[in-house]
Amino acid sequence: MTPEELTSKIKATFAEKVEELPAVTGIPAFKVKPEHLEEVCTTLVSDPELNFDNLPCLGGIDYPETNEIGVVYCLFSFAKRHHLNLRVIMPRDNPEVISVSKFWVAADWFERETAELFGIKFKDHPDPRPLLLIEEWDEGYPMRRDWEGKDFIRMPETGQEK
Amino acid sequence: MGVVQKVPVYLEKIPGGGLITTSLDAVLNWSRASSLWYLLFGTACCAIEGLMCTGASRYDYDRFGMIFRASPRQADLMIVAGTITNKMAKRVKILYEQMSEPKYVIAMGGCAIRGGPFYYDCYSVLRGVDLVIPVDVYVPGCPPRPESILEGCLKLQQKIKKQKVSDWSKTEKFIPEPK
Repeated sequence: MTPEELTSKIKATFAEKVEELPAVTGIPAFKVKPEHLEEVCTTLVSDPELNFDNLPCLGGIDYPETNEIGVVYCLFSFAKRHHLNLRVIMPRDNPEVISVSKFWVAADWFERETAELFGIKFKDHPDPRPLLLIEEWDEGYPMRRDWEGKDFIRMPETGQEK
Repeated sequence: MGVVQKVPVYLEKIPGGGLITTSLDAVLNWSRASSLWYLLFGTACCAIEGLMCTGASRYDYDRFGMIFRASPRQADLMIVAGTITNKMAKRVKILYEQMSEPKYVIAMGGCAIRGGPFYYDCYSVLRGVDLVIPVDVYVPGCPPRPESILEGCLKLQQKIKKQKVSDWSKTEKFIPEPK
C-alpha cells in the first residue's frame, strides 16, 4: 500500500479517533488519544489490508512547554511493506497508557525503557521491572527535558547553536 | 647462551662459564613485562581498535608477549577499552579485584580517561575509570590508533621494569570507592 492509500484507508477506518500529523520522511503519521489506542491497535493488527505485524521502534517524547508527554509507535508490515507512525499525547503530570505488548511482543522491552526514562506508566505490562539504569536509581526520569541529576553537567552555552 | 645475547642488559656474561648472575628485581620485572596477559574486556568501540585490530596479525600484540585471557584470574593487565557506564563501574571494580597481583590498568580512549563525548548532558556515564580503579597508563584518542595503544603498552613495560621487589610490600592498595 502506498503512503497515500494508507492515509486514506486509516482516515476511513478510524474517522474521528485519529488526527493526521505532518508526514515526516514520507511515512504517514497520526495522533491517537490514549483511550482509543487499544481499539486502533486491534484493528491495525487484525485488518487483512493493514496487517501491521511488526513494531520496529517505540519511544517517548517530551513537550515541557505545553506540559505534555507522549509515546511514539513506529509500525511496519512485513506482509504489505508499509510504514505507519502513531503518536499518543498525554498530560505530563501522571501519564498512563495501555501496554501494546499483547499486540507486538517487541514492545515489552521498549516499554520498560520508556517507563524508566520518561516516567510513563504502561497499564497491564507483563513484566514492569526497570531495565537500563543502575539498580539503586532514585533520581527521577532522566530523558525528560527539564531533568537535573546530582552528577549531571549541562553543556555550557557557546552561543553557536542558534 | 642464546638468552645472554637477547637480554644483555639484565644478564652478565662470565667468560668461559655456564653461569649467569643477575638481580631478582631484573628477572622478575623482565618476566612480568614480557608476559603481560591482558583481560578480554571491551565495553565500546575502542575494543575494536585496542583488542581486536591491535591483537590481530598486522599490529600483533604477541610480539610483546601479550596474549588475551578470557578470565580475570589469569590476567595481569586490564585494558579498559571504551565507555564505562555507572552500571558497568561496579562490574569493572569486581573484575579488577578478581585479578591476581601484580596487576596493571591501561585506560584507553577519551571515555575511559574522562568520559569523552559523554562528559556533558549525560546521566549514565562514569567520568573516568580512575574514579573506580587505579590506572597506570592513559592512552588518549577517540579511538587511539593501534600504534598509540602499542606505545602505551611499551610505556607500561618501562614502568614495570623500574619496579623493585622490596616495594611490593610497601605498595598502598589504592582502591577508590565507587560513587
